[in-house]
Amino acid sequence: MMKIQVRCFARFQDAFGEEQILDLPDGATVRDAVRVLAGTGPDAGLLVDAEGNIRSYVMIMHRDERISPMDAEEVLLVDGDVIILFPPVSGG
Amino acid sequence: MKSEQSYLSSRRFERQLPLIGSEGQRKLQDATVLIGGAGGLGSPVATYLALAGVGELIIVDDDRIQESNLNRQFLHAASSVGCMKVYSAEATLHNLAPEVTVLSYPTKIESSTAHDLVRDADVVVDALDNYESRFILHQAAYHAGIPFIHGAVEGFSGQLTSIIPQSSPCLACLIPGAPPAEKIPVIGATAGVIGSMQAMEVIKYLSGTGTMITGKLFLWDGLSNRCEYVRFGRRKDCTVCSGMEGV
Repeated sequence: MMKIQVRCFARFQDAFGEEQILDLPDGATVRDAVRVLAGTGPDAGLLVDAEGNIRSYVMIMHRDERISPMDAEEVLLVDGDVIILFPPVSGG
Repeated sequence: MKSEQSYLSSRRFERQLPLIGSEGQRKLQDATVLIGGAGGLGSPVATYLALAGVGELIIVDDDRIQESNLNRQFLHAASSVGCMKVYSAEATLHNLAPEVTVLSYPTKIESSTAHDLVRDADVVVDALDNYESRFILHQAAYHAGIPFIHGAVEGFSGQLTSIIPQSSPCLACLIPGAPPAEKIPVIGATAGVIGSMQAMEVIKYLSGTGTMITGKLFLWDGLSNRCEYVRFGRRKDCTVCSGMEGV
């Protein structure tokens, strides 16, 4: 098992907390982490659709790189990784 | 109006001249800054740039002032509800800094007009409240080679990055698609923090001081007092800047 830290900002923080440590099996991907996190809050639909696909507007940062939601299933995690999730806020 | 020389040598700027020098002050005086949006972000951006001595501000906003704006949009007085924001902003700025030239455009930012709007600007500030207009203004600024200072707020949170054409990844590299549009709750002070930082980015760029926030997004959460810088790179398939690196 691996421990993955996920930090959330803006409305993702309201729904899923400021920070969570997820226990994930070896070989888990960024998409797995986002799906697991989505299941911990009251509004999973903020992060994933009914099929478990990460919503296109979700901003994912992993090791200082932005991960496209479409590529998240190909990015393998290692123990101790940190993922940052935030929506692009739009207000002015 | 005072002569330019007496304006620059007046005591108005004596507390900032040690920081940016008379040359930096003159660069501010000679500059034109376009501010897209005269709302929550536009209020601190326009106010601090006018007070700092930026010579010309172009303000673009097609909205009228609503009562619900007044928790954060301090360019506008309660007595101005119903007025066009750009004219209220112009009047407020003239009272604060009479020497600043304010050009007001009560129009929506559209693809057909954006290039003309940005043409005379040295810097463009994104103080808009929606991604449709943001992407249009950003693309026009990028293709004209003009720095674009992005800011946005929601609730107690905000984000900021500065786009320098040809030398940094662009806004579309960072945010390929707009999030769903909705009415955004916001604390006025959130806009105050991010808008003030946008003004700081402009002042640093124009006066040639400090380090700008480029190639990374500044994320700030006022509730927990957390901030992060998240780096981002160019997207090879970016529709705005792909193929323009180093042009």
